[in-house]
Amino acid sequence: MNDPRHAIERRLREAMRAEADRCAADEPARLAARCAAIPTAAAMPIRHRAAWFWAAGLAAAAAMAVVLRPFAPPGPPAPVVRPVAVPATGAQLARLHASVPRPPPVLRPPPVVRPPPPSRPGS
Amino acid sequence: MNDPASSFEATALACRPRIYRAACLLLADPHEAEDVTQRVFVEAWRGWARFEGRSSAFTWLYRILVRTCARHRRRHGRLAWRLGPSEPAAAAEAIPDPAPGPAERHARDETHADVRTLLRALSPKLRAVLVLRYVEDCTVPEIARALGLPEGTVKSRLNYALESAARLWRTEHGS
Repeated sequence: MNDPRHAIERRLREAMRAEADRCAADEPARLAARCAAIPTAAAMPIRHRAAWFWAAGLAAAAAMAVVLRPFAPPGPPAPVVRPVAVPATGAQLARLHASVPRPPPVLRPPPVVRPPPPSRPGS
Repeated sequence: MNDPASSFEATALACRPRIYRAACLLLADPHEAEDVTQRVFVEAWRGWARFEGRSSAFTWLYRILVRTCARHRRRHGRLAWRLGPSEPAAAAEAIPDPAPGPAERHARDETHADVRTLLRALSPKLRAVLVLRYVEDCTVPEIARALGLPEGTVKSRLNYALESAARLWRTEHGS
């Protein structure tokens, strides 16, 4: 049985089976999961699929907002917060008055007291 | 078994490994084969109500696979096929498998390269016939039924594929 056609056929069969076995051994596990999910995904009502779509969109937008937040342009400076005025007590006011330097008192000369004019004789 | 999902799972999805390896042989790229296999099952699920069980589930799925591969080639062009496997596939092949010994690995790689070269040299129609004949062990009438071809066409394609293989191996190894 040295039929060259049979020899080629046998060799081709062996080579193709070896290749097929190799492919089957390397089949990714995710393919089984993806194929098994087909009936479930296809049976999902359209409105559910739309809801999933919107949920995924919102989640993506939120994630982008979080990621891009550090790159946002700086806003206006925050207003300066001033302390609220508290009415001073009487003692505080007295201390404040005491602490203010005062100018020295102006000394006026004593008023000049003139003697009354002498009365004229005979009037 | 009245539930379409459970019958699909038990009948069609059970053929997944065979469909995947057939896709690998038809496309010569495991990544593309993965995508195409998934598409085959999506299409099969859509048409599951029309599956009457007159042929085996594998034959029915194989017909979808051949159609899907043809569509895939039309969409992605034939350039990728002519150039060989995609870059990730080539990179995966370049990683040595530590399990077998060097001699065994060399022989296996040579066989692997042989059959890949041969498959690349053949047209998709011939490849579809070869896979059914030599991997799935189908008879000529079964192949004809599966592919919707006359038996004479199947025989002539098988002959042509064998001649191509003989020519290729003669020129490569001088045997």
